[in-house]
Amino acid sequence: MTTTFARSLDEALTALAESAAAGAKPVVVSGGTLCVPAMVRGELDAADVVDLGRTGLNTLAVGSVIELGALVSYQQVISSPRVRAELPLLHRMASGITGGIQIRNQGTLVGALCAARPQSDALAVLVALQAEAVVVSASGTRTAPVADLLVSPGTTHLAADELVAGLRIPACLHGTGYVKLKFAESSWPVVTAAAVQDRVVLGGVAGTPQVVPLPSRREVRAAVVDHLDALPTEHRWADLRAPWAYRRRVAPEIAARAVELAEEAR
Amino acid sequence: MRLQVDGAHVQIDPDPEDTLVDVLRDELGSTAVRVGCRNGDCGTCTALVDGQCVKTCLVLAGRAEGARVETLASLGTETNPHPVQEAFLAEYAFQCGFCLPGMILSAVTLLADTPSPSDAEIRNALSGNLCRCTGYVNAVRAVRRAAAAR
Amino acid sequence: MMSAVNAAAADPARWPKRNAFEFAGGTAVFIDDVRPSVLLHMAVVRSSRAHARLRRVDTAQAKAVPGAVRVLEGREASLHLRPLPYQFGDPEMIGGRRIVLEALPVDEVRYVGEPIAIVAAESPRAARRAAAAVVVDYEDLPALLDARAFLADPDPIHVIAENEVVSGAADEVLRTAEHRFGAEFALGRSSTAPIEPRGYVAAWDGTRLTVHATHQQPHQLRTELAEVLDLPAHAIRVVVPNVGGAFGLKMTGPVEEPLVCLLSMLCGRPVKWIESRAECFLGGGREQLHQVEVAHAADGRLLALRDQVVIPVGAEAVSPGWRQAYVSTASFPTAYVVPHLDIRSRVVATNLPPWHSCRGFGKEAPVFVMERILDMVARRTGLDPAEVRRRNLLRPEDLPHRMASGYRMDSADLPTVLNRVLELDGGAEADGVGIAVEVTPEGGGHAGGRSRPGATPTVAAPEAAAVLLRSDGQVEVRTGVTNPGGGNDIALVRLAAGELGLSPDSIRLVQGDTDLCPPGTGNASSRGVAIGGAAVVLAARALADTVSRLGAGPLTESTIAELVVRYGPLEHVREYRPDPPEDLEYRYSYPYFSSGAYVARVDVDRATGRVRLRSLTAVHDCGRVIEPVLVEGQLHGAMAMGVGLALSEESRFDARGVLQASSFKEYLAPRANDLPDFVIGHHETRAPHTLLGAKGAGESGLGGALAAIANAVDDALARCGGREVTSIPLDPPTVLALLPEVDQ
Ligand SMILES: Cc1cc2nc3c(=O)[nH]c(=O)nc-3n(C[C@H](O)[C@H](O)[C@H](O)COP(=O)(O)OP(=O)(O)OC[C@H]3O[C@@H](n4cnc5c(N)ncnc54)[C@H](O)[C@@H]3O)c2cc1C
Ligand code: FES
Ligand code: FES
Repeated sequence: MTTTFARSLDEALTALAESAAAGAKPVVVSGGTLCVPAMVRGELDAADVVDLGRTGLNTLAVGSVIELGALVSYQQVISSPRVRAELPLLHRMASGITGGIQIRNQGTLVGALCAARPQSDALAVLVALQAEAVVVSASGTRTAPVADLLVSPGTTHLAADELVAGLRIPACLHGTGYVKLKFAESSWPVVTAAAVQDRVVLGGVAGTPQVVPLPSRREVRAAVVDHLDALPTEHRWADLRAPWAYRRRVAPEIAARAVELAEEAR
Repeated sequence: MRLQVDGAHVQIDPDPEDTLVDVLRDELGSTAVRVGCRNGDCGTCTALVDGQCVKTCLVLAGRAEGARVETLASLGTETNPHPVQEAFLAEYAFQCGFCLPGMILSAVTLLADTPSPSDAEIRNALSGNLCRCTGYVNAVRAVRRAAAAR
Repeated sequence: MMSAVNAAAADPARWPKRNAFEFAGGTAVFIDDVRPSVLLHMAVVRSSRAHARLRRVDTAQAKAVPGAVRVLEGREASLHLRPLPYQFGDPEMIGGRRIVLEALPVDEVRYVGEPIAIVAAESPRAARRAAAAVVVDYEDLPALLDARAFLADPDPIHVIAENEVVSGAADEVLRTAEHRFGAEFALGRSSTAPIEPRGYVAAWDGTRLTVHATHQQPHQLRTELAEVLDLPAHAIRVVVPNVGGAFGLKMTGPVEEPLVCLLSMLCGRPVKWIESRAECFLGGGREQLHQVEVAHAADGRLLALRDQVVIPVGAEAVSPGWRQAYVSTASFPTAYVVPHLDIRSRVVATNLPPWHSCRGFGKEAPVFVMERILDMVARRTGLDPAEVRRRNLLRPEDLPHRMASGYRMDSADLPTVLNRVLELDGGAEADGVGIAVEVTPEGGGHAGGRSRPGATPTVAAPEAAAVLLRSDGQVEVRTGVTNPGGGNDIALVRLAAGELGLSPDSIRLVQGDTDLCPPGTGNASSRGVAIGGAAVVLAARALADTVSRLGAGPLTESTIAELVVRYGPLEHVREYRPDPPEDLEYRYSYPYFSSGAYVARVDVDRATGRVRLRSLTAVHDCGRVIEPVLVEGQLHGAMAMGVGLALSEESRFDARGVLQASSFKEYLAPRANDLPDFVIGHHETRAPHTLLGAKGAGESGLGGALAAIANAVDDALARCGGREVTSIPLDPPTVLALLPEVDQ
């Protein structure tokens, strides 16, 4: 195993390119909260590791679009008054991350995105906010809507030599709401709902976040039920915490609560 | 690689797969960070790295090159304990004490930002750490006490 | 201001805990901090099959892994090790069957995670790599993974023990009673999960084996190792460093104990094994299925109870784990008078990892079942749950009481404890309120090693203590009681200091070293203070007597030092055992009963089934309270675990018997923001048959909290048309399934 503690984005990209050219599947480490323990347990068999810790990609810039680097932690998001004002949805989501002060200091939004786990807070929120990922490799940069990057549980549309350098999120000042259902402080989120304007995005019901358009704010539950019932069986999500039937039963309520919060925030 | 641990400059040569907790314990002999899960759940590997409260089982050792690491051992002494240590001792906020690195350093971090926390804020700040002996009642009391002593 | 606080703090006597700063300052030594030079590390190769014949265990590739020093599979290990002795007396005494178990299996594996081979290597990583390189060829056999599958096809081959507790004519009463109901209760499998997992460091020097272990029972471990390794007991020393919580996990019996020692003997180097968190989660207990039939009078009095119990204890093992099944059965009908009782349990071996002792030790299940029954009676009679309890509780004048199992309930004041907790409960607004009364038989335990064949273990084992003077002017107390972190050391020191008229800091306490301490049961069944403390008091009194007969004035540092110069250490050793009852009808495993009553208040989210505990109030009676801080600490911990068991903790396995809850993200132990502040009141009914009047504190709280919460959830559900609670944990899917699906 080789580990590169890249000192710049370029160094990281070079290391990635070399590893990918050799046919390996390099592991990129942002916060490390998911992939480091997986490597230690041997679940993630990494020939090459590229750790971004020293790349300085931890900047958070707030303009009409909020730009945040791969290393920006939940705590940075929570502490930023500008994010709080201009992306209250992101602020609220980050404030509810479990694992204590430590995980909020260590976990990153980009890491959560690249992990592509249905049982995560960030995904539905990023999709709801129409965030874009800045995808870079030694041969160039592209931007991709987050929703397009997410393929299936644990899988993203990233080539072996690509990494996500940061996110661009348009400001979204008003009328958003976020609700997550989890079973105990230790548990992963089970069902999440991020409400924005005319849609609610659900996490934890399918392999990837589900965008449910809301023709009217009164019809939230019905819209969610219709959407879920139309989900092909193979996309329905269940894990140890709860079977699909449970998620199907609670999701309309979680969505309705998120929409209610959004109404209040108008 | 070099790093600074509890004020001392040290030089070590970790394996690429080593995490920071391995290096602190196995190479540097620290007993002030411990291993309870290697999964980011229990918090007993907690240390302050460049002032940030982190779980060191989640950090590849090489990432900490040049960093300033402070463990529980750097806080105070028996005759001059840190107010949070004193409060945990006075309130009998632990039994076996295995969880204390995370408990105490989380409380220290909380009070640095929030000098008069509410109970909910205290419980939230301790929530990155598991304690199996106590039920947290006295730990919450201890953080209240430390806050009042400031 | 700050400096004033610190000046006061500089007096460690103000801190309840001994050597307190070691812990808060991070210098305390736990097992993984024990690092002898030239240390090797052990890793364990574990079965990936629930039940299979071992066709071949190929270690060739493992031996070639760089850093691997020794690889051992079952056949070779069996040349060096004798079969494992049972660790709870003879299984026949609790209606159980006996089989011969080896540390490593030779022919057959019985659960996913069972050790098949072991590796010693230069580093933990090399050991893990070598372990991963062992190739095992299996031939799958049919596996039994859960109790319901057994009930569907109850093949007696799986039954390893049957117990019955019968009195009166339950059949008859149940047939004819006017008010009857049946119910089925289930408790999920759960674990102990101390934050420090198990760990051992074994060092063989050619003649003696020194074993450092994070352990509850050093003397038992020594006896077991002597037998399995075929060494004289005096050739083994077991030393226990600080223990990071135990809760039953760290009792004698797991196969890694002799295995790590064997590797040290074969390699001639010290060998360490530290359990991983996932390995730690394999163990568990507490799972039970109850099918009850209840007859009661219109006024809420219980008339008869029949309970058919199935207790799946995992694979057969020598550890005290499955003895809990017996204790569960024998503890019925807990705090109540039930004139006609018929409890029959079948203890079933399954292809899951074996049970280990789990805090509660089987006493929590009967509390859950009885407290649910009492609430069901209240619901069916329209009476207040507290009133139904009052009509059925044993009264102080009924005690001592011989339970149907022969257990003697020594003393308690259950109605008062119940009334007091109802007063103490703050009455916070909540969706549901639940109460529970708990009795906890405590103080059991057996002495080091096996009891003689044929001997009936109806008398609790003694504890011993030595008290002696030291030339440095201190008094040394050595005890067979160990401290898993709960702080019995504090009480033992206080007791000795009190007898000798010294301050606690002149006492040096030695625990957990088989070379220095007199034999004892270590840490089990809440005996540390009530029994171990009594031995300390007797030894200290004897010493004080001698000192006064010698005409020495009050003990001080200088008089102690002088006495040592003139007379030597004046060591006094005393043993203490609570007075056994004269009436041989009693099955006297537990000399005293602690008791308590609990009120839980919960909110239930009707749309999701999520339960939030709003408040939990207890009034606890553990006899004379020697150290209130300690007793409360123990109770807090037990109550928190009870909350976890009631709402979220469960060791779940998949359809192939693979553990799913292998980290704290799946095994949901309560965190600080899952819990409210607990409110605790004390009531003292002194134990009439112990020297100090103290009873145990340590196990009680768990069953009471769990039952009160289950009842509170039930109450909340009943108020919105839900069905009755019959199982734990009450995770949201379980709760939601009890609620009617309303069209929103
Ligand atoms: C105790 C605890 C509590 C938690 N609580 C929550 C919670 O409440 N809600 C929640 O949603 N999650 C939770 N998590 C999960 C997780 O830690 C976080 O969501 C976190 O944001 C993941 O980010 P990371 O940077 O640490 O990821 P990493 O571990 O660094 O990476 C995760 C994955 O993404 C890949 N990757 C990382 N960075 C990049 C990149 N720049 N480009 C390409 N690929 C990359 C990695 O290779 C890996 O596969 C918790 C974790 C722990 C340990
Ligand atoms: S060991 Fe790092 S959090 Fe448990
Ligand atoms: S005191 Fe034992 S884990 Fe916290």
